Amino acid sequence: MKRILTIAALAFLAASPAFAGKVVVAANSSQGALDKAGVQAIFLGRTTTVGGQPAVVVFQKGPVRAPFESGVVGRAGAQLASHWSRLVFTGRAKAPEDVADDAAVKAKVASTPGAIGYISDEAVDATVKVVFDF
Amino acid sequence: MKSVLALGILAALAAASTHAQSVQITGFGQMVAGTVTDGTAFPGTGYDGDWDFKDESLFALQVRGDLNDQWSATAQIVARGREDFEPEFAWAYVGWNGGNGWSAKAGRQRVPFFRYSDFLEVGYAFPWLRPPHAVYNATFSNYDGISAAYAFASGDWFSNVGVIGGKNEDDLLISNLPASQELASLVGVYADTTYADWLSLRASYLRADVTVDAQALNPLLAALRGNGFAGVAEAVDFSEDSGQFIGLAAEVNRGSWLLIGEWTKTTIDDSYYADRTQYYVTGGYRIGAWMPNVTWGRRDNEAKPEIVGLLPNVPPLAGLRAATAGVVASEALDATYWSYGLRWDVATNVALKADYTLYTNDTPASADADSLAVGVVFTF
Repeated sequence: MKRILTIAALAFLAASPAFAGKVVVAANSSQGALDKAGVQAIFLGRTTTVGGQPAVVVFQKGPVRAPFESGVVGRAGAQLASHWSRLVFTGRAKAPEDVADDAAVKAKVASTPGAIGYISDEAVDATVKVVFDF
Repeated sequence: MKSVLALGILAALAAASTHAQSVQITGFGQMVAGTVTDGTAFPGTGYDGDWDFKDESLFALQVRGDLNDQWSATAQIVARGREDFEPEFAWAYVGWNGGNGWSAKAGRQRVPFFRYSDFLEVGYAFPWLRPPHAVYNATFSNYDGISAAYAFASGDWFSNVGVIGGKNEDDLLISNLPASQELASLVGVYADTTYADWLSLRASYLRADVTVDAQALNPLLAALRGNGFAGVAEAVDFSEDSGQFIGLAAEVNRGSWLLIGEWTKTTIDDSYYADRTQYYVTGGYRIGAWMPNVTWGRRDNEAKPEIVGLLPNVPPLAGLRAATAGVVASEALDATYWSYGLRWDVATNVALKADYTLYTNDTPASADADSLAVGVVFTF
């Protein structure tokens, strides 16, 4: 029994992302809170508006990227890039932005209507509005 | 002239991009080296016994300018090694995105024949070195016209339905002689759906009035007409004859497994064009950044010997019958492909690929061939 509990706890720990983060939009965006499916739809290019504006999807290269891609979007790395190449080169979506880190995501999101990105928990401040927690 | 126009538009858009943030430049390409390892030529490639570095290599730039929230203009210019890297428009259209899933395009676009038609040349978007030639062998891939599409989600299903209309005019080779084709009243409908991000299904139907003027065919047609068999000439040639295409595809992308299958049927009424049934199945297994894959493909093109039967079987017509039978029989094809492929994602946006294909042609008086090709594909 104890052993099963230990295994379950280990499995839970292994499944938990090493970083927690938030999906954010501009502080003045009319976008309301999203569920996981809503975030997936935007970051897989299926929903093309954010807060009533044409979506500008912002990926970043910081440590929050891996837990976000594998834990929330469900596709990561080359598979995700391949998915987006299918959308971009057929005109189904605009190419996503790919910026360096939390600060760059906040700057882009705060200044661009329709922009949506993800940042680590500690980077959240008044310039952005949290729409999903992961 | 075409390339000058293409470069001019690129330069103008590039110049505009320094002023407006709403211009996006992206691109993709591949550098492929290939050779025929057994035989003299390989279908769908220009390979022979030497290593070739140009035939399947290409470089493409896409420029998209947003005109406002709903309208955009996109040009995709592809320079193919096979055409000496002469730039050509693969896409050039004005797009409208009406929100709520509705969109439309006017201009040059891909004909939505196959599952991978829309990103035919974007090597980074598919697992193989080249889309399986058993199915991906249409003599043209673009049309000029309009399209409209509606995308919608329903539970775990995400679907797209679309209609297209337009025409295609192209120059091609038939029996190594120049031919020109016109597909008028080209209309089509397609639908694809994805379930829970791992199962994709697709169906497409297209039709057109097909006219082809082929130098290779003209001597026979003239002989038929000259002998008073205009009706037989009609049954052989392509003169606004109704062509139909049906495509079905399924794809499973779950866990480490990738399974893809496509089946197509192409016919052109009142012509010697064989009834083509073509299909392939691909299986792949992802091991980290590696994706080994195997593809089995078939081309089963049924010739129309009944056309020869339209000519009376009398000795004076033996020559004409033989010539007609030869042309009709040239359309028969019974071929099998076995491809062993490997894709290795070396970095985000860069992948290395290899392909070894065994081609078996069981049509009488035809040759088998094996080909090896390796390449690097990228997007930016």
